Amino acid sequence: MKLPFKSLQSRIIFLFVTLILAVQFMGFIAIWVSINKNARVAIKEQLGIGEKVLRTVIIRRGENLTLSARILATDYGFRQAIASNDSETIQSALENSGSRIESDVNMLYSPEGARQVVSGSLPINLIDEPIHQLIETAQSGGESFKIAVFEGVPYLLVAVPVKAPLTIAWIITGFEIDDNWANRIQDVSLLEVSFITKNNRNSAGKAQWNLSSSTMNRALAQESISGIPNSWSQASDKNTTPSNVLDTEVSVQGLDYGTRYVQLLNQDNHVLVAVLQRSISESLAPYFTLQLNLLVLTIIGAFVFVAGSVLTAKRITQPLTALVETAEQLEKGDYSKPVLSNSTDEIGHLSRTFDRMREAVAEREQKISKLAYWDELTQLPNRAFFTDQLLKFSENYQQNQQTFSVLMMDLDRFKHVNDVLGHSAADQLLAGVAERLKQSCKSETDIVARLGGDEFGIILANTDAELALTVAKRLQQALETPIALNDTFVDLSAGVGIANYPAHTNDIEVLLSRAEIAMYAAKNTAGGVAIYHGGLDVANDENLSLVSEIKLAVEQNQLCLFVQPKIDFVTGKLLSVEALVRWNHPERGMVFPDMFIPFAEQTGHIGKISYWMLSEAARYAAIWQSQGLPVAVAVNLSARDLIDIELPHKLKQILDKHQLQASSISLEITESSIMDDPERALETVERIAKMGIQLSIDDFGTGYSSLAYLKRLPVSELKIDRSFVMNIERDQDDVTIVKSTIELGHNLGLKVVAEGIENQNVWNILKRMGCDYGQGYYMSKPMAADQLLEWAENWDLTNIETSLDNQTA
Amino acid sequence: MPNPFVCRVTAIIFLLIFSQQIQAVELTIDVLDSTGSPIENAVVYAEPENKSSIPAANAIIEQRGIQFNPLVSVVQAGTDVTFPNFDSVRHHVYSFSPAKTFELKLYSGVPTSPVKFDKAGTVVLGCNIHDYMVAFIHVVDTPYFAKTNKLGKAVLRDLPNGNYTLKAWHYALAKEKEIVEKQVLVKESQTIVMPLSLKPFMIPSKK
Repeated sequence: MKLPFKSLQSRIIFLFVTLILAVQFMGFIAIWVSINKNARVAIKEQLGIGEKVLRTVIIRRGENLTLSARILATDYGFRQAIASNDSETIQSALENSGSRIESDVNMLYSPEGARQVVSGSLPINLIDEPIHQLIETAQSGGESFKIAVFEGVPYLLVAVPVKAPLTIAWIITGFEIDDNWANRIQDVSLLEVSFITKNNRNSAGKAQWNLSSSTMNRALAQESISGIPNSWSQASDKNTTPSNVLDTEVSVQGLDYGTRYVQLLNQDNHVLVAVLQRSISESLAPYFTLQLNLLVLTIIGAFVFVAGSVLTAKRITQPLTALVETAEQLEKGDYSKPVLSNSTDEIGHLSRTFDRMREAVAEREQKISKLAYWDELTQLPNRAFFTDQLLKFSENYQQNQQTFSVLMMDLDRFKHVNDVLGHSAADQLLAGVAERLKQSCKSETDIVARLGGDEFGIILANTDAELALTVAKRLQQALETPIALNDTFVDLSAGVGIANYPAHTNDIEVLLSRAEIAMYAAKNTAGGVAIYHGGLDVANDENLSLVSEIKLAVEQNQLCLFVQPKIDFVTGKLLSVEALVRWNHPERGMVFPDMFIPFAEQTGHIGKISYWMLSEAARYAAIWQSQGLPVAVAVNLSARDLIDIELPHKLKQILDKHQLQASSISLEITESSIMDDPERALETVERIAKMGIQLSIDDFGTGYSSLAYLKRLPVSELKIDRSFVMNIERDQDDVTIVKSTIELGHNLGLKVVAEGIENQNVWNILKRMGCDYGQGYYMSKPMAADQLLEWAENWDLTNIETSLDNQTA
Repeated sequence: MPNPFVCRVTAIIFLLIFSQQIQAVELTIDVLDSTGSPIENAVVYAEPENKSSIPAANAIIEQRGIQFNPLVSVVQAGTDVTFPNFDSVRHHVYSFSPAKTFELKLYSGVPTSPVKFDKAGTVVLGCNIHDYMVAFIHVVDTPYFAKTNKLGKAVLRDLPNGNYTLKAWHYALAKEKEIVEKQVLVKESQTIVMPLSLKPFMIPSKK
């Protein structure tokens, strides 16, 4: 059921009030109906009693008459007078008796039914028929009294035999049934009594009722005639028992009367109907007071109950409201205010449980906060806490203009340490570093946090960049001492970047990132500390966009393939080319690999680029082959490519697609790229070698090298880095290195390629050293792949060796 | 309440034929009602052509057990009737009948003088203080009378021959005037049937 109220209080009140009013109302109605019904039932009973009274009165009066008449009938003198036909005496005696008993009719009839003596007035139009009937009835032992109606006037007549000793006459005596009768009956029964007669002397069709007597005003009584059923006006058998009774309600002057019609006589068109009536409203009157009282009680009760409901509702909802307020406090995070309650009922129970909940929540929140903000390992706060604090510091700045600096510290090559020493050792080291940091910083105002991995962040309160620098240097110093690890020591170093609020930015996010930029920059410096400056940022911005553009570059074919020929020193032939990627950036124009390849390697896009290069290289190789230039194409691979399990498969696909032999493609890999994940790289390389694809070591001598791996790798070629080649004219060390490298390569069964040949002198030197192949500007700059064919046609060794004879090394 | 019965009386008269003056004849009268049932206590009497005036003997109607006994008596006009009271209570005997109106005020024992009934007719006796006491005296003008017995038979003896008016009377006759008459020539003994129509009549009794 949807209640139209929102608050619990109003709902409770509404419900209760509705209920009680409904109950009261129903009770009221029920009682009203019951009263009415009872009144009517009571009236019916009264009418019943009234009828009994009426009949009893008739019988009693009849009996009285009979007894009184009998006194006369047994009188010796009277009998004598009758026997002797002494009419005068008889009449006198009748008169005497009549006045004694106050009868209206006193007559003497002969046994044969002849009217002999009449005393007093005779009823108008008295007829003998009813009297004969009476005598007959009396004679045969039946009732000796009877009702007769003469000309609309009803009489009660009795017949008493005069015996001497046999019946010699009949005394007929009786009363007129008049107002006195009605009144007498009313006295006993408290009903309104009317007598209504009818005789058919005049009427032919409808009954003509005649009000004979009544306790009511005659005009009013007339109105009751209407209720008499028509059937009663019809003639009925002589022997009809006059006990027809009809109960009904009649309206007299607008008032309802419970009415009982009693048909006392219906014989030979002489009809007497007694009408007993009781005013319904009168009998309801005493109840009216009762009902009024009841109504008042109902209203008072309703008010009381409303008040009670309001109080109860308040009693229930008030504590609830208090709890709501408390809940709101808790929502805000204020767990301080306890919920008090002394009551022992359900609400009190709820309050106390609520309070316990409050405490529990507060406790858990603390724990969670701790977890959220704490790094267990280093016992330092974590990144979340750090950033929160930065916010607080910046807000603080708004208030009291206190500047602060952020230090970002990253341990160098920590991944390496992790790999070498294991996780638990690494963790221990981190904890040790954290300890060092804590000791170096003021804990009251400064915040030291572990930002994650091997990264730490420090907020220096009230510190500008210069001061921060000194702090950073101090930190570096603190790290100079090796960290204890079980029973040994480990050397660690870090890069520290500094950014200042608000000097470097007003934005917390930016502040962090700038500190980070500074940190990366710091790693490349000797001291390992650096303050952020604008220049760092630019490159970064550029780099960021480059990274996203690289992806586009591959998709939109902004890359193009350049090749640089590799020339055989001895034959001077073009045997293969190195594939180089160029980026035709829509805005920047031609972008060289140095600008984007490193980032591509760092962001993982190198894979796409490599794949593209391989595909293009294969394509061109196929074209060149078909045009009679069977040169192999060497493609550079990155460290990532080497650990790609799919690489061999992709190579196969590319070869198949362009229908090339494995020898058409060769791969160049740097030493460093192998060293990132040597085992994996080895595995991939071996698989590729098995396919028949040649491999070269690129930039030999410049990166991390492991001769142990070198001898395991199935490479066929070594490429000496240009940094060595370019200086062999002047630098003796480089000469030594190059020479040694060529020998090493040859001894390992590898071919050697020298990169970066820029003049004939270098060419000659290298040739004398026995280098196998050469690559450099002197022979050719890298050119667009399309141009190779043409170049190849024009290529002749003599182009570059013209003055060989003229020159000595 | 006794049912009304139609009476039909058949009388068988047996006449002994003797010389008129020497042999007296017997008349047997059967009084029957309409159903043929015999009627008791009917008075039959033959009135000769010439009225004789031989007074009959005294009659007695006693009061015993708050009742008149006999119920029906027949006396010749001129007879004295005595009313001895054998009850412990006193009685007030009276009659308003036109044939003899008299009263014997409250008495017990034998009244000093008898009451002479000298008019023919029916006299109904009652007691003033006992409503149900009733007796009938049918006074006749002839010495030749009798009461029928249970069998409805009555015998008139020593009737000289001659013409007679034979009459039968019962107190329950529908109308007083319905005394049944028959002209009879008495020569010999015979049986005559006298039908009477009676109306229902209940003798008052102590309730």
